[in-house]
Amino acid sequence: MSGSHGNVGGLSRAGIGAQVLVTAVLALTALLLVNWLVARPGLRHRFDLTSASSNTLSTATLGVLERLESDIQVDILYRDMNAPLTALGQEVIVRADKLLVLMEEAAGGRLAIQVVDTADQEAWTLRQQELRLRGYENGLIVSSGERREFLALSGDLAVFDMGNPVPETYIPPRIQQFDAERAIVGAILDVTEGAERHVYFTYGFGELDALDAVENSGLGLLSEELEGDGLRVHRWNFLEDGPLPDDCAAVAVIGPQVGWPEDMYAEVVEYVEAGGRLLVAAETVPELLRKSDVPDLLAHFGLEVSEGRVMHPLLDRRTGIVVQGQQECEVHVVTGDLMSRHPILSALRGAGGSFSVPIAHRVQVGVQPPDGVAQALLRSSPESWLDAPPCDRRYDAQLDGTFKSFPLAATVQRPPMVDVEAPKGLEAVPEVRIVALGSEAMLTNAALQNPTFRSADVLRAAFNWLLDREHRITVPPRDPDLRFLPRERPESAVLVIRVAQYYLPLAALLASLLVWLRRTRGSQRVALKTSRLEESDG
Amino acid sequence: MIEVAHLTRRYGSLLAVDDLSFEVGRGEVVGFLGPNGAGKTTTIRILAGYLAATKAERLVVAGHDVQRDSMGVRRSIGYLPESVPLYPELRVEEMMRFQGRLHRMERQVMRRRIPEVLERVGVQDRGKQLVGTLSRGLKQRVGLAVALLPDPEVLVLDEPTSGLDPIQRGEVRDLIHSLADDRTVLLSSHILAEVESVAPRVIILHEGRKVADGKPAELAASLGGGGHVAVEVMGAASAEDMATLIGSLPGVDSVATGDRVGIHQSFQVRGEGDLREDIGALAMTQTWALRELSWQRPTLEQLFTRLVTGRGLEDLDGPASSGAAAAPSPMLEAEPVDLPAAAPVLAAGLELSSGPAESSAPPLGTPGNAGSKIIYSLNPFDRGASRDLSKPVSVDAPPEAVSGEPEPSDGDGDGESAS
Amino acid sequence: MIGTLVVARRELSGLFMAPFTWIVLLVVLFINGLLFSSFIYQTQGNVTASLSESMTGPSFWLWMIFLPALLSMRLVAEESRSGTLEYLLTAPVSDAAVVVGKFLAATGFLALLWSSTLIYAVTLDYAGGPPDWSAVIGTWFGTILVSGLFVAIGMLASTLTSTPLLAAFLSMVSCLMWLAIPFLASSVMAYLVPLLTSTAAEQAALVGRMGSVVASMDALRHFSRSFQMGVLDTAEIIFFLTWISFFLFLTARSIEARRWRG
Repeated sequence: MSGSHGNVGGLSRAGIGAQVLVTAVLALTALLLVNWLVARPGLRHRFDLTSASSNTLSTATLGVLERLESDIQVDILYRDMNAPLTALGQEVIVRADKLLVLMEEAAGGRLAIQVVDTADQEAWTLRQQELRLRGYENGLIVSSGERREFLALSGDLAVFDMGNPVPETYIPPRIQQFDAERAIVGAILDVTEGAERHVYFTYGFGELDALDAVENSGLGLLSEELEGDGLRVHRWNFLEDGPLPDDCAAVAVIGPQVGWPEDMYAEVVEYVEAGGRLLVAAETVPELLRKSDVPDLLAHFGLEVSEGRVMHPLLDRRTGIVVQGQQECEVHVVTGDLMSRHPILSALRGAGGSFSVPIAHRVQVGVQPPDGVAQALLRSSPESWLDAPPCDRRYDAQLDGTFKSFPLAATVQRPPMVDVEAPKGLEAVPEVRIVALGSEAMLTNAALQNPTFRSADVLRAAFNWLLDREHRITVPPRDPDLRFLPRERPESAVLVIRVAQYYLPLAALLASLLVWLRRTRGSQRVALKTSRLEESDG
Repeated sequence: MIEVAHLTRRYGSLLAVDDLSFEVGRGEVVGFLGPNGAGKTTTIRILAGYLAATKAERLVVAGHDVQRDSMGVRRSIGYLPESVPLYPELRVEEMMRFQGRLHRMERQVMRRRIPEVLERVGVQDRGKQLVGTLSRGLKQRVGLAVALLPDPEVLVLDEPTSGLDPIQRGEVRDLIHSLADDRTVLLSSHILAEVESVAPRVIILHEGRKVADGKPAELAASLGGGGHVAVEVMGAASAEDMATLIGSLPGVDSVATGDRVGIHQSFQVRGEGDLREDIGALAMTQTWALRELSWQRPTLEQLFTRLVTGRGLEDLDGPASSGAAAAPSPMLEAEPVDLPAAAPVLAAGLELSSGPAESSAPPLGTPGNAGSKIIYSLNPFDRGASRDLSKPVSVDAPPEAVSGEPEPSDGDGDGESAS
Repeated sequence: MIGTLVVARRELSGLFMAPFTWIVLLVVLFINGLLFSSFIYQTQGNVTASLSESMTGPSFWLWMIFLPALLSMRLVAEESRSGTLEYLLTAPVSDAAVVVGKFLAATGFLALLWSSTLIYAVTLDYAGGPPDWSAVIGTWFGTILVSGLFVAIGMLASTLTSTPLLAAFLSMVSCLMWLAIPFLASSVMAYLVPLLTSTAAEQAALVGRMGSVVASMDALRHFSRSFQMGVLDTAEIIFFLTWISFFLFLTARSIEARRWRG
């Protein structure tokens, strides 16, 4: 009974309010602290429940992401694909998105994802221009600063099997392989590697000038295109500049007209043999070409360049018959069917585009490399003929042979031909890549300025392929883990829809009626009885 | 069983319970009486652990400190709020089982106890009925059953009869009567008759403060002494002369002269014993026409009215609660006109004569205009405390007079509610 | 603990005795069924995508705004009005037990509702398109946690008033606010940041920092980055559990404050 007994109520309302506020703030602080703590990498555990482990990144990927030093942005470009790939395309992009989210988590803020709003036509066009994309391509753009790489949805991210569209033997299209993780990691490595990439154009022996943007024969416009892709273009002359610098990513030899000094030739060969990248374009004039080192250089890597040039006759417009003795045409329009299945041309082929190659020598594969691939890149039309030197542009059946399709460019891709140090860690695997073009003219300002030629895209693609590096990361392709209702049994979908739409709500309705009946019936009976009782009581 | 010492509770600036202290012993039945807003419900809610006390020196229920061991209190108390909160979607038995589970009762104990308790409150045949379909009176019984299930030592009932019709009210009252045998009961009501008939002891609250505490009879005695004889006569003499004559009778202490209505003059005579015979004899000898001669015992109603209208409150507070000798009744000093509420309290059964010509006349003692049907409510609290209790209320018909003593039947006792 | 279970059991059975609950159940099942059928149709029978869309799509979040509000209105505000809350709060169970019991009942009801997707999954399995069961159940578990969070928010809002409609409205608004935190924050930041900083670099840094704080509260993001993908992430589970406890704690305090407010 003392005064100290139970005097809890000494607090005013304000006091109680303050007390509640303080405890709430304390609890909030504790909550945030706990949340921060459990999000620390050491304490955080993720358990992937999916059967295909589609939410677990490979260790190689995690390694790359943890070591990221520059910020990466990934743009997602997606529009619904045409039937029958609509659903599959969606699936691929959703999966790629999931992977990107995982990568974003693992990259610790270095990786940002942006979905380009393809419904917003203006923004979409703008973004395409920024990315120098043509057409509506679905895929991802992995960029770091000015350097970017495009990963096509069909091809890079996933390989589709189109199945069989014939109704009798219908096989639905499917995702053959889901490769997004490997593709994205490779692209990240590509765009983050080193600082800038340098292309050295040989100069001083009759080559076209890489920095001349004025003259028709200059390469200035090409250089500008390449700079736009994040490449630095230099002129290189062995006599003046000494050996090729270490940062050399590729050497371009565009139409030399005289022979190089011997050590310069040796320098170039040595560079390429050790896993270098080379783009060669032959001089137009056969005599000059013969004087230059280009035929020897190509022969060294198994390619042959003709002295004569490939021409194709003008056809009689009415009859379609070759009109002999007339002025011949040296501009080859390369359409889809004349392009080979090569990564350089795949995008263009896919978009149904074409381009023109003016004044070209034949470049064909002489010797297949034993451990690599040499292949023709593009061909002339089947009505072409090879004009023997000195290229009088007149068809002479005895000299010039028969009409047929001639290869106008070729590529070589093979391991280094000399022993080089094995790559360490995430370094790229050294590889020899050569693009040999039969025409120097297609690289000139004149060709790039000509809107009907449209050769800039091909040249950019060629340089990008040259500079692309194979990374020795072992990211296994993913199990597509597709789960679809059996298409051959449409009744299965009908069953599912019936259950979801009718049976389940109906079952709930029945259950509710049952409960209602059970709850009311027993009660009412008793209520009747007792109300009678009540009456008698009253 | 219940000890409350210096309990204060505020709602913001409103003082709901003001330094309240009282004790209820084991087995006692105590009625909490007071107008709405007097602090009854607040006090009860604090005792039940629903509300917190703003300040309390001691607050013990069934041996548990309410403020420290609220769980202990809740386990040993059966509390039925005024709204009788039961889940309407449950059956009576389910409701009981839920209460049992909340009180951690054993399954077997529950199985035995539920029918027992339901029978006790007289709803044994309603076990399967949904609570929502019960009538108000049955619901009240079920509520009581729920409160009784864990066999609490203390039963706290807030307005157990509110919202019931007179018959149900009687039933519930009887029920509480029967429960009161073996446990402590604290019930609240704003209806005097309820409390009077159930609780041997009454605590009257007004504006959060205890204004009286004691047995109803004691309280009445302490206020109004032994009652008085009401006389209404028609005589040739003046009122003063008549008063002097009556005052000269042996045993008469005082005579208060009342109103004159028409030709009748009323008096209130106080003195030792029953003076009616003497006054009647006097009237005979003086050839006064006697219209009324009745024994008026002050009821709690009057006491109430006086307490809450503020008159005599200072005088009553101390002595009444301490049970000391009766203070001088304010009624004696007051002019009869100043005590209008007391005037119409008439015992109809004791009316001696009422001529056929006068039967249609307005009730006597109506001040001022005899033709008007202005009367004063007999039950000052049944319309809520917001009403000004000192003002008259107009009703359609004159209500039956109330007196606990002359008509002991329950049916009559219920009739006083002017509903 | 026993008290909690007793209360939870009664509240849950009480829910199923009320027609209100059955109406909600029917409406949700019917609409979800329609949506699920359309997903199946749209995705040409893609099992994973349909289930995921049904369990975690916009419809789920829309339900999350309405259902917890309705449930907490029923469990708190209506009881407070009818007086049964007084009965519970004077019964020998603690406030925490009452709050947690009611929370468990409401969450349990929602869990039952979301398990309709599991029935869809069973049907799919039977129809020949077996779902990725472990991932589906992981996602289902996540939807329960999200439901719990929103029920807790709704209950807190519901204790602030005893007018059922107002309580439901308050709950709805608070659930919506919680979902809209990122949008609200970004609009607030767009307004505030230029006032607080002078250089673009500072601005970017501030936006980044605030963005990460906001992202840490974003239930949608937390859900989509773990359960929705079929991943159990300890940090995300704890995120939901701690916020649920926090709101339940506040609810208990708010109910306790009634003892003072009266």
